[in-house]
Amino acid sequence: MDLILTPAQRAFRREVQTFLATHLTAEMRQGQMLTAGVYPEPDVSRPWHHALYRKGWVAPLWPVEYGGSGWTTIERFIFESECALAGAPVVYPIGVRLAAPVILAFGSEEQKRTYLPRILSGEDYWCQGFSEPGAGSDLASLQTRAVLEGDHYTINGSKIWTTHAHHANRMFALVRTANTPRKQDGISFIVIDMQSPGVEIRPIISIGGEHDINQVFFTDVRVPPSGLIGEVNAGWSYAKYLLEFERGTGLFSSRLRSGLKRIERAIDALEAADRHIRDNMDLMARLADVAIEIDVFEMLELMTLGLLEPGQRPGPTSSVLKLRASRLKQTVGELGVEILGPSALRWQDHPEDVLSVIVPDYLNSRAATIFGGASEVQLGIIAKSLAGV
Amino acid sequence: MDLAYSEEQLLFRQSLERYLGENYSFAHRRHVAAKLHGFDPEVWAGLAELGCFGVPLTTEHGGFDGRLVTTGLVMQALGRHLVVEPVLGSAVIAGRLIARVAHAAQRDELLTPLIAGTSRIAFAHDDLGTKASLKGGADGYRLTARKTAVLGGATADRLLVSALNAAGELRLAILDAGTSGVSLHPYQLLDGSWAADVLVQDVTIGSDRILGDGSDAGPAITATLDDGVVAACWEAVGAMQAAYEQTCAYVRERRQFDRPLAGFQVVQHKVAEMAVCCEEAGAAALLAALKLDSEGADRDRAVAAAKVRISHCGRFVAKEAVQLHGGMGVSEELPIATYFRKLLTFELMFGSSMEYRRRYVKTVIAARAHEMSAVLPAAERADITLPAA
Repeated sequence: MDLILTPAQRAFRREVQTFLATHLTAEMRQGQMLTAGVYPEPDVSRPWHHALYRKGWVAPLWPVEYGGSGWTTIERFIFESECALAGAPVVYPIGVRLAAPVILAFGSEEQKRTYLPRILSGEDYWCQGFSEPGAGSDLASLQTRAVLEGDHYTINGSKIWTTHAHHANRMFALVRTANTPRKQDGISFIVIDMQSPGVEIRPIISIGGEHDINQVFFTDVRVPPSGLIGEVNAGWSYAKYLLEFERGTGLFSSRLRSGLKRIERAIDALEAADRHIRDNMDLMARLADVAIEIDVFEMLELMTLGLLEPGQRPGPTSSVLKLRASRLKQTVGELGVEILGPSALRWQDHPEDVLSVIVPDYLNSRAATIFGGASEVQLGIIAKSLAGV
Repeated sequence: MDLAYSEEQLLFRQSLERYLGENYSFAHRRHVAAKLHGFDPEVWAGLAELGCFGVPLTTEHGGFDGRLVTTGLVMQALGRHLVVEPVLGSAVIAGRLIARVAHAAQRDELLTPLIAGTSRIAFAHDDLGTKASLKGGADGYRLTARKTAVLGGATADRLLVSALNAAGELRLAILDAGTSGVSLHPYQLLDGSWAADVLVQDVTIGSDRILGDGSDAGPAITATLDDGVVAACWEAVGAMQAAYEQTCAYVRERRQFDRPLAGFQVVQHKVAEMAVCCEEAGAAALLAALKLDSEGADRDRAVAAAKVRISHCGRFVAKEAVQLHGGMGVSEELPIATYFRKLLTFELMFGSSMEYRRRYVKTVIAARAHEMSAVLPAAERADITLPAA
């Protein structure tokens, strides 16, 4: 057992570093640094997505025949670590990392041919239609209905907290296709064209003051049966499969570390303005605690995922990673706010620099322990599956 | 990078676990702690036969392995079973210190019986600032020392005493415990194991009793104490895991309000949080051991992170284990109270979290090393400049 990179892994690391040095622009790095939401805006992430696409590096988790990069988990870990360190934009994951694994596992050949190349190229921008006003943590209570009427499904209902719906041209959604005694048994997984008549998007301004999320309304929206992924009424198992990927394959540690790095930039800016943060041993001790938590989480993530074969499911330990990563994201945010001190009080009255993004990012991070299964849901999963209680 | 234990390591752990399961019941442990000064000769011989004392040492030094990861597996098993015998003080700390400093003849003399289990050596170092002194020259020395909290000192046959020579450099003197002018005050520690205060009053020793070639032993002492901290980290992880598992079993069994405690969500969530802490602590211990096993790694970072984080996680697990056991948790009827004391001992030994946090600030934060991965080797980065953001 060791953490020493093989010659091939070292060469790969160097290749990633060289690629970053030649393809990552100052604008892309600036765009990511000023991102206070979960994902950067498409004008920030798209150019980077395209650069990775041309290199064949967009989809580390896909099989090679569909355009996957064919990396081991260790290579993926090296890649993510170097990208985050360099300040590269986060690749928008809803298509690549959430929709695609489900399409790959349960979609027809035709669906794979239709959807996957356009996800890979960045031509299609997806959003996720899971939560509803009446179905949050209790997701299976969802009421948005799809009724087969002749040659199409008719969809009525509403989805909420839909990240980047206003940028997306496709949505994968969970819809009710049957009323069954067990509510999980009447749910289907369907792809909706966001340009369809009857789709209406209402912006929701987040706690951080940003427009990232939306409510989406469906009024008699028509979807052809070819939009149904897998079997009708089997959508719940696909959703669980997807959530496992969402929780357990993110390699969050490198992004947590870039959050820490952003705080370092903020400290530099404050020091330049004669605020002596580095002499404050209380703040430095706090910083050390957070950095230590990230060090340990990085190892936890690597040892949990590093032994998986490509494509292998992470299982219930993905809940441990999701729980820790989401809390740590908030811890990093709290540290940033503490370091800003009184300057954190100025609401949206900063020049567009690193100091302007710390507070909104912290506020938005409160959602991290809510989306993708709230912490309480993760604890329930951990208790049941790991602790056996 | 190799993240899996070898077949050999797993088999070794299995045989040690089986041995302790059959020979080290909690009742027996209580007897050894209370009546035998924390030392059962039969258990010691059994551990020697299994090879435990050779594990911390390389084959070059007559040992069987020499890696801290494998040493960690020994310590983890000892922690699970709350073993009070001085394996940490003798086999890990004294053993590795002798391996680092002694010349070949001294190594053979001291390590061969140590590995065979026929000699126990205690490292007497901490003198609370009283400055042990070694005076004299090539034909002999006079040693005066007042040492405290010497692990295993109560039952050691040999003492390894650190002292400053005239030049202010650290030297290590080897003494038989029965030497006239050496007096021991044995006492029990918080976790049930035994230590001693050692008083050495102007004892004459031959120059062949000074370890090594006469160079400064300071760096070897520092490195070995780091090894000791990491070994103690694994022991704490073993104690945490056992406390967690026993708590899981207890809440499934114990009924109140007409149902098992495990039926209450508040209990489920506490147990899940304990599981997460155990995972994190395991990752922290593994990272530290792997880093210390590799050349040129950032020892400060690995050791400080492990001590701080495992102290935090250990405290959480210990408190919840006691809480969920109710009255049984605060009594000596069950091992739970002993696990609590074991984990508190770990927090206090080798310096508190506060000290290690300061060490992390001074070495890691000051060098901005925390902006880089804690897992990937730092030296292997290509010297590539990114465009400024």
